[in-house]
Amino acid sequence: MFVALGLKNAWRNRGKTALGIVSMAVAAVIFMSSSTLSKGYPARAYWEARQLIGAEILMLPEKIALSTDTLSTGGYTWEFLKRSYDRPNPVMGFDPTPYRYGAMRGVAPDGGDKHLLSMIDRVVKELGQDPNVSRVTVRESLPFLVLLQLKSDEPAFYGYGFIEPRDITADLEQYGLGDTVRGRYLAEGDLLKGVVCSGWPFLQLTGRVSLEFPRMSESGYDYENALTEQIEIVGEMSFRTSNPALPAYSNPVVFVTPQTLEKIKEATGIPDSETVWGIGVSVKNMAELESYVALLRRQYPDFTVYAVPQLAAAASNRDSVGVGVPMDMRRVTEVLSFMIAALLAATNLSILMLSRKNEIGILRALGATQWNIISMVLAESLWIAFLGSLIGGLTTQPAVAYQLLSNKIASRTVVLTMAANLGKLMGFSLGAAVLFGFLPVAKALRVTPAQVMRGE
Amino acid sequence: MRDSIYLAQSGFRQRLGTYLVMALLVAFTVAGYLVVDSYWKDAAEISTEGAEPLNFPYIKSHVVHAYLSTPPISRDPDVPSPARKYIPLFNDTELDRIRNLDNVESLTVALSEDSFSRFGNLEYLSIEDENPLWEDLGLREGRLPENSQEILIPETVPNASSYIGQTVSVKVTRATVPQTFWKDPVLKDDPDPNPAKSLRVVGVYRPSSSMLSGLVGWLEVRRVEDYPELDPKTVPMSWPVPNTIFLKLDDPSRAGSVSFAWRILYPEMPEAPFPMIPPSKVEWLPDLPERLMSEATRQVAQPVFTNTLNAFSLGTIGIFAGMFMSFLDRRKELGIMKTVGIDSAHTAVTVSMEVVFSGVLGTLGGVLAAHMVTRYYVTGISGNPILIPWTTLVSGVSIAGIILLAATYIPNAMARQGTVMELLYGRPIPLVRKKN
Repeated sequence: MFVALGLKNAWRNRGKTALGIVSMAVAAVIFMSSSTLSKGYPARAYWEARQLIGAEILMLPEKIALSTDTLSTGGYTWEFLKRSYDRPNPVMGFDPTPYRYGAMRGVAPDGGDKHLLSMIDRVVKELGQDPNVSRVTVRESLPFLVLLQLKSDEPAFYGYGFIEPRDITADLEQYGLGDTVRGRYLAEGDLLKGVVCSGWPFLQLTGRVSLEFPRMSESGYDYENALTEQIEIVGEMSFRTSNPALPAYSNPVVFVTPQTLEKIKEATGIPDSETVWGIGVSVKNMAELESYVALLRRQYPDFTVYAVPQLAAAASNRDSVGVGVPMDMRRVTEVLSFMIAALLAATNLSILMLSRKNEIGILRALGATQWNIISMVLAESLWIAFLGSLIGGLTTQPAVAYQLLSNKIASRTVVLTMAANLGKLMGFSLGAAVLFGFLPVAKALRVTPAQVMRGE
Repeated sequence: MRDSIYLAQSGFRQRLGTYLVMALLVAFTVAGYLVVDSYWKDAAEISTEGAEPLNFPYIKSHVVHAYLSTPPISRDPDVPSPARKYIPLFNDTELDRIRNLDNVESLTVALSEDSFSRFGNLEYLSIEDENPLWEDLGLREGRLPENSQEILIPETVPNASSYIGQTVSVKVTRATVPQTFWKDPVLKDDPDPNPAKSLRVVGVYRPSSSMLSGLVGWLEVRRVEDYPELDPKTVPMSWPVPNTIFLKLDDPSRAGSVSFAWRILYPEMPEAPFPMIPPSKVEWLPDLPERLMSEATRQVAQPVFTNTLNAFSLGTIGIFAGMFMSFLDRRKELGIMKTVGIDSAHTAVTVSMEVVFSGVLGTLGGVLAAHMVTRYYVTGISGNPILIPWTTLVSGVSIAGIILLAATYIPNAMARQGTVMELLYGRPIPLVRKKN
């Protein structure tokens, strides 16, 4: 009976009950977004950026981002440098600031870069065994110069770009690059043929172009004695989205087949150690991308690990990619949100108890035990928590379901994940309600019939 | 006042439970703030220590070659408004304005390009003749360039001395990452009319900083007195168009003030969002590495501060709720105080004094707890015990004080406004009462 009385009280004070429910629902939404939604993305998220990169994660074998692990490990000397165009990679298109103006770079005590290729080989082998990874590739590039003249009455100028060998099968089948190309995309075995990326100013290449590749000398790349190679541009890719608010991703890049790169490397004498710039990782499940990236950052501290959405977000905001990797505080946020919600509910209930002092006194006079009062107050508290978490949970479940299902996760796994989420949510919110419900309970228990009769 | 304090003490004792909870809330939030802030100041210090200094007592600044001038408009409606126009930067009047800024010892004009040669990709910096930067180059061998066909190379090039007297072929690209691509103002970008150059190496210098470490050439800057054009996309300038200014500083530690003064000098460049300073677009200050590392550490710590803010919000809500409940709990007592003749102000002060007790108790407890935590339980990223800086202490205590002041406003106002009957019979009390 007293449980029913608690529920009736909740109904009679609909305004304050609604406030408690809303606060608990907000806490539930925060919990769901930080525990599930923030782990990754729907399958087609940041699609154009992923098409351009040809991966979901980039791992650069150098320290150009600061994380908690880097800070605690220490030992790095950080120097400000303008990045050299001799070592290009597609991050340039998303954040050209380090190339144009400079950025910080961490130098390990031993100077780093000594065992670059063996380090990359080791990581590629390890990631190849990882069940989360669908494809892992060593990424290479080679810069070139090209003499261009935009208009006949303007002087000719040198444009800069780089060629990048692509995995044709993955580009066509996994990333659907065939749909973005004007002309045609590369085919297996194409030699000295390329596909350009539209949108990069001062690098408009069409037809047969003469690209000047540096040769290798004792002091590095030698552009003075460059190798001039005729490359036929067979297609042009555009990464413009239908949404004009989104940026047009671009890079000063010409995609070629691995055979073309090998031929040019052979002719110029450039070794792998000069052309390799990092590792590209394609994941099976975008819904876990951010969690996986966080794991890779801890697992491979000598690498800078970028999730492509991070690069795309920076480009969208017309901002540089953050140099600091924010700490993962999701757990703390979850706990804090529930504490705030529970405290609000407790405050509401306490105020309700004070306003119902007389009724509680009369109940005690009629023979209600302390346990009866406790069950009445806790029933109200638990009901508010239950309704709030249910509303918050149900509000977020469509987004959770879409994220998981779009990544082609098995229906059974999706159902189990959602059930587990709701279970955790209920557990947290009801636990918080019981814990913080004791404040109004204590207030209610202090009321005596004599006090009420005296009008205190 | 003494009576109010006595009454507040009694009230505090009677509702010890409620006020202890409030004091604990204050203590937790203050302690949390002090520990987190000190922890990250320790981290920032470590990261800054790891930053390699630039060793360059200059402000290096990429500049646009014109700025938009807006002459003052007359209050007389008959006087026509003067036209806004682009003023060339590279003339003696404008350069003197910059040179005369406080803390600036000298000014050097230069042109920075990206060069590709047998030395790979290097910055190709052409410096105006007789500019002071030549003296700070650190020439090791050979001589300084005397015309635009001569260059110095850095001694970091293998066997640099062997190139003296040789002619090298240098190709310069049109803005590799184009100026208009990212943040730069839209001004006409003329490419170098001579992109393939044959330059004679006449000397080798020792780069003192990454700010000046590429090929160094000679530049003859043409002074431009006026532009007829108004459209920024068509404002022309005869080649060579300088794009870099070096300001040597008397005191490099005060570079920020020079930057600020420069910004004030040219406030009117459109389409140059902060920190692209008109007409200076990008600046490299002598303490740039330290600043960037501090910024990176701040980015790492951002979620911690967000969570601290959440904790403060939590504490604030708790304190507000505690204060309000305390008022509701004792409104009859406050009514009785008014009945026996204590005026509204003194009644309200009694309520406030109780909060002051809780606040001071909580703040002291928080500071003590933070001190214990940092001394015995938490070690900084540096590996050393964390010291709580006094600035953090002051800001933490101030924030707690502001929250407590805000939290007392409603109960204080209700205690002040409430009539005896309202207080005794539990009637609603308006926060603001209309006076007839």
